[in-house]
Amino acid sequence: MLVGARGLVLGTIALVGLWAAWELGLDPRDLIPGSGGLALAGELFSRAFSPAWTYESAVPEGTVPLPLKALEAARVTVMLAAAALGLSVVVGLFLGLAASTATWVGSAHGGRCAWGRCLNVTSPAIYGVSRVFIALLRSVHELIWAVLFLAAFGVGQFSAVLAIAIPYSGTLAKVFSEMLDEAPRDAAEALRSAGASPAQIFLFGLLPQALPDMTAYAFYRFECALRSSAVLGFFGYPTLGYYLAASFENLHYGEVWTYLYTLLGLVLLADAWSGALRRRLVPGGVR
Amino acid sequence: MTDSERISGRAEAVHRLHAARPRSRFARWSGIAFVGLVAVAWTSPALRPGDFLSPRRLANLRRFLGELVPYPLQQGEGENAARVAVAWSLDMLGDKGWSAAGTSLALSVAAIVLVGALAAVCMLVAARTLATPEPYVESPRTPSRLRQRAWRALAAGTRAVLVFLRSIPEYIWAFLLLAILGPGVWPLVLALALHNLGILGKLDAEVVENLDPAPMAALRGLGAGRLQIATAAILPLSLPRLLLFFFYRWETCVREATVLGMLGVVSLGYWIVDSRARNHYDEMFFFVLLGAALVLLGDLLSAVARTLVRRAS
Amino acid sequence: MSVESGSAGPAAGFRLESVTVSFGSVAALDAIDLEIARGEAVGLVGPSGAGKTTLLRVLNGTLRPENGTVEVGGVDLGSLSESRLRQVRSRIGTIHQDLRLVPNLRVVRNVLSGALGRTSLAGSLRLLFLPPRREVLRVHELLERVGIEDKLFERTDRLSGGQRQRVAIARALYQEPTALLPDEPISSLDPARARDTMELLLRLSRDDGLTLCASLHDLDIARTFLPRLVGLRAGRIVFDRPTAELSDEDFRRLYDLEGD
Repeated sequence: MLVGARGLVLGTIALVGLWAAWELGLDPRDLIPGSGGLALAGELFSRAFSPAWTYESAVPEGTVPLPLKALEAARVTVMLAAAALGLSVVVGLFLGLAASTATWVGSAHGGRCAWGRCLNVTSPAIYGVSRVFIALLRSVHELIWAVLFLAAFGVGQFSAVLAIAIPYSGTLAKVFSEMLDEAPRDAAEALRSAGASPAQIFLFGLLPQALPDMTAYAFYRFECALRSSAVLGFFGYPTLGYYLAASFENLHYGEVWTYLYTLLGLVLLADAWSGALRRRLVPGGVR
Repeated sequence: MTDSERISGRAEAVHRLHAARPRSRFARWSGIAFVGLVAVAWTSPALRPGDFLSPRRLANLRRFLGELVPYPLQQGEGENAARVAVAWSLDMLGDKGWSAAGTSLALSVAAIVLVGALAAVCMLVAARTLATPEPYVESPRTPSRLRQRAWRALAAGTRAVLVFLRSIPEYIWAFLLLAILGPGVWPLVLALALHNLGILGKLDAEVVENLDPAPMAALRGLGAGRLQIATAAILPLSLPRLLLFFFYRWETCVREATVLGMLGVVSLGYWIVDSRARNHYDEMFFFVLLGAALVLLGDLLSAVARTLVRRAS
Repeated sequence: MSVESGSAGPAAGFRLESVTVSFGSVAALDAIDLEIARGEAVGLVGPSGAGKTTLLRVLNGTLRPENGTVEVGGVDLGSLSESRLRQVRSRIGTIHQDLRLVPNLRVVRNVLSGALGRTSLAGSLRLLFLPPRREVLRVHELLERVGIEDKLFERTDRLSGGQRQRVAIARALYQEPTALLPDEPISSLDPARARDTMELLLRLSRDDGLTLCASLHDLDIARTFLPRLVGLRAGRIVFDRPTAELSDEDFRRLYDLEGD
């Protein structure tokens, strides 16, 4: 890139940033919290190093101890995330295959038999429709789905799973299709010259080369799904966010940190897991 | 040797090779563990999809879907339905839509520009290749142990902070910051910025770590200092990749910006929960669609920008 | 049985008649006439860009010429449907210059993929996930013939370049081919290995009675190992004679930068 081009790009980004600040009326002076906010921040952050191990107010006899409650919330968080991601991987795999140019690369040659002719006509349509469908799936945030489902069905964990699974299916499909597109095509070409059919070329020559990347990415998305699942708690599902919000509203800041650290632990665990897997599956690869 | 002897000898050899084959137990067990987790999740009683589709709920759903139609149309404007729907939508846009969408877009832009600048600074501290008193020098002039450790600690500390920032989702950051800073747009901008700084800072640091060290070592040989190397070599060399990640994260910022308003700051998310609370489902649906349009626009702009960056570099 | 393992039929001969292939306005092959008898061993020589690889692609049926006829084993490829053409291709063992293996699969799977052309989709799924014992034993046997049987379950990208080439040869043999078409098989090997590889290819095709047509840029190797050489230059055949009848002058003309 030219020096001038570099300056132009950075300058434009800075200008657009300034427009955004002006549009929002961002004033640096508002960054200083009021006395109430300052006191709250002090109380909140002073508990960062002493999260609560017991409830900070009287609880009815027989309530489960706080650590167990946090673990139970963590369990629900993990379950919702796993159920949603499991569904998303299946949907994302099929949609991703349909939306990858690599899938259809062999079929352009298979135009003589009836099935091949049929595919030749329909494959651009399947490809195009699935790309649009993926964009639409991705365009609505999981929290908006949650609000919609709450309005339509009321609280139920199945709707929480669907809320996460819909946008995640879209994202996985998009990334899967890109990974398939980027997989080297040379082995596929060799199988074609050895008489393999388009489906065989795809299964033996293309998919295996993209699979390690796809697996590593799916595991990375599990980490994201854990966060989304936790946030869904703010809308009434019994995940970590639910208890975190409740404790915060009750000014039990020690409990807030208990839940925050539980979430932190979950995310770090998922991060370590997906990182270790990535190092083994994709040698030398950066995320 | 007879044929069958030869075959059994071969089978034995294959068996031996198969037993000694190199394999990644970790990947295998990870896959099994994950599939098991998903299976447990789907079989848990709390997740009964049957309940989801009970007749009562289906009736609710049907009524709900009917209420998504713009209110004037529900009143039965059969003939010029299209014109009524368009007029209603334009009304909604002029009334709240444009400004809400503009605010959401501005939130994402303000946050990502802030993050881009901060991450470019963080990466210079967090990159392992720079975490030494004498970066890019083959045989350092015996740096003091203490300074060496201080640099390493600074880099490790920065990375730990980035991990912490990344682990807390935007929505929870916004929730906490709104309480501290009071209602306003700053908490939302900061929430987006903190979470994404955690991600972009890590990605940018990896970009720096993967740079070819030769140009920096050459500058170092000319006696350039750390800041000079950063501005003359590291930033220009890594800029294309930094921009790719910048636009990729902006895409997700736009998505998040459509929902953060749910916490009570006037933007798209605010109107979605507000109209839901007032049971005006037609308006809620309108804002949902507007948010989707905004996200699609963000995806498109980001894709165009990334293509341009790829082509220019 | 998921794999129809017919015995390797008699070697196939090739016959090209005024075959023309052009990429854009450049004629890669210009009215080529060529006949290769069953079981013959032929070398294609000539400067890079002469059309050697293009000719091999015409011979293995992946490139349809815009003019002329291609006959493989007496069958005119131009008249074949795509599925019949696939059957012809499945019996021609092409060994690509860049090998074109799937790097992150085990050697056994890469070799097994040679059978795809004669296997149904369901059969090939079984071949990929639960290969029948008999087929694995056959792969082992083939690997033994190329000298790397102990690499059967190794990941292909862990192998050296020479070993990977042997995997590609084994994959071609697993096709139960009637002809072997190695494209520049020795281009990235040191002289000793190059000789080993040529000896291996000749031995394999002689033992199985296969037609061999190899493109080679190394003239010394070509003259040492192959009884008949076809000189290609700018898409045209410059000479086509038994190696014994070729003089240094012929080769000088083949590579001469001035004349055309």
